[in-house]
Amino acid sequence: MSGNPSPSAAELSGLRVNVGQGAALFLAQRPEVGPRRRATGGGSTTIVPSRDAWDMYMSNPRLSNVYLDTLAVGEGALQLNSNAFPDLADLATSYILATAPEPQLSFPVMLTGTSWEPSAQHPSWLKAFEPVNVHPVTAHRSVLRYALESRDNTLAEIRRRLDRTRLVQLQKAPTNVLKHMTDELGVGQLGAGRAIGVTPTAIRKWRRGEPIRPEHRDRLAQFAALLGELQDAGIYDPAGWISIPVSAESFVTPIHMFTKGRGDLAVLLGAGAAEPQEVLDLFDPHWRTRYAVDPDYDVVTLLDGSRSAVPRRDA
Amino acid sequence: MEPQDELETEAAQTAPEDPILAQRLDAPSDPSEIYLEEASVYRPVSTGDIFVDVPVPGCPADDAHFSLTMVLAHPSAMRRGALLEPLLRAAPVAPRMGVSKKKWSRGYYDLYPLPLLRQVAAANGFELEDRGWCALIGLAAPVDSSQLEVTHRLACLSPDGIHLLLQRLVHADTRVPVRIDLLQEVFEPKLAELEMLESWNEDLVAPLQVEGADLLGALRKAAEEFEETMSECKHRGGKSIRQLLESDTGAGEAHRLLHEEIRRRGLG
Repeated sequence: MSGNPSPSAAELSGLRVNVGQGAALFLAQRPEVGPRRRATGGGSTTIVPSRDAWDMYMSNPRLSNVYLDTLAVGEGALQLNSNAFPDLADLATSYILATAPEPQLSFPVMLTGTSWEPSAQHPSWLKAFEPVNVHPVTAHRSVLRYALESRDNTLAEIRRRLDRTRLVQLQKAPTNVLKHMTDELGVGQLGAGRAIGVTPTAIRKWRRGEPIRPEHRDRLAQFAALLGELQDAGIYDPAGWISIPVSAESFVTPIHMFTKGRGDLAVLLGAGAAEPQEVLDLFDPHWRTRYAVDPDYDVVTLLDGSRSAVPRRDA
Repeated sequence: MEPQDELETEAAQTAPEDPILAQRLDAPSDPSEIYLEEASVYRPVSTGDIFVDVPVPGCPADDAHFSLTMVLAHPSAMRRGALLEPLLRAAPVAPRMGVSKKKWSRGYYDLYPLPLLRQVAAANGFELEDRGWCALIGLAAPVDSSQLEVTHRLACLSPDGIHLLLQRLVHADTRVPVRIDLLQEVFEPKLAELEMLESWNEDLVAPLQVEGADLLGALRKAAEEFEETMSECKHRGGKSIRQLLESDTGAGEAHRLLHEEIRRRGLG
């Protein structure tokens, strides 16, 4: 049992907890009015949902049995502590899905008899439990659907931000954009050239103030926007980060994703809002064949600091 | 039909290509991609550079008379400190029947095609015959590096061109096609350092030229100072700029530090 204070049922009734920017998805069975009862499979519950969540529940005809599909979406979540309901020690009829502030961290929460502890980060005291008495496929589908929607919304927002920042960069003289990129952020001519699709010589010429074609100026602005967004996302040294492979299983780097028009995925990854393999799946579902690291060779650093490609020991 | 058009037609029709190697040996999407736009005098001597008036020992007379040479030495082995190694592997550049003047010629695994070389050389102030040029990598031999003067350089390969060359070289010597992404990863720090030295020369040597300094002497001195700067172990974790550049996570910092040093010297 948790040593933390247990709120009473009255305290929980109607309680709303803000879980931040993410959606809190609530799903529950009909509440019992009257004495609390031990629930049985398909039976009743003594869960007391928040008022708004209950309203949403009632307005959704799908939420009519224990195998509940999704959920109303909105800020707030129900926090329940099984310690407050000792009768529910064996009960698992309530199914709560909640998302953390960032989209992908959705997980099922189920009341069980086990103790649980408040999360230091989320005042909602959310914790993952083993789902019981809920159809797992239905539950999983619900989680995925909302997670996907949330991720798509996030990507759309990232693209909007990148576009806005690109316009800001377009207002500046290319030579100044480049000087900031190379001198302050530490992007080399090689990396800048690769990102924009030109040679290092072209980068040098633009840095000297020589003319730049409109399409290249746009690419330069897009690249500068990407670096800015990565900095805002908290990436230390974005100039170095963009050349590091996304995953040990692939040679795709964030700069590579940018060259293929998916700078948004680089920001998603940089913000910690998606796992590397998820990002790679979005980039190219066939990345495991098209962009896999060489299975036979490994690039290693030798004693003199130079690199070499050596056969893998298990090849 | 004009003789030159006959050359292009023959190139299109007779270039042999193995279907397996066609998949495993890369090619540029556009032939111009293998070159840099200019062969700047401030660019250090590099893999793939093409020079005039540098003979390759043992080259057949018919090819030797063109007196064109491509440096094949790989980026990690060209220098000893600031200086070029006394002898560098190089190959004669000559025309070959069946090699296209304008397109990347597939097949011909013992040579490196040089489409558009005439146009590139012209842009750098050199005149070449309108032929299908290529580097005869099967005839490579050591050349005296003191003859490789940047004022006699008519073309430089781009990073993509260098990677293609290295892939071709390995295949020509071993018949093993190596993945180009592997080559790119291995040589990335060296190519990045090359770019850094070019920036160093542009920012610190070019102003001296305006004042009438001897170019080659100034470049030699700049190379020594660059080497010293890159090797000093006085940065994060006791590392040198070169070590930061070679690490997975220090490249950005390496570039920033070098630019700071360039600014400091430029102001001083």
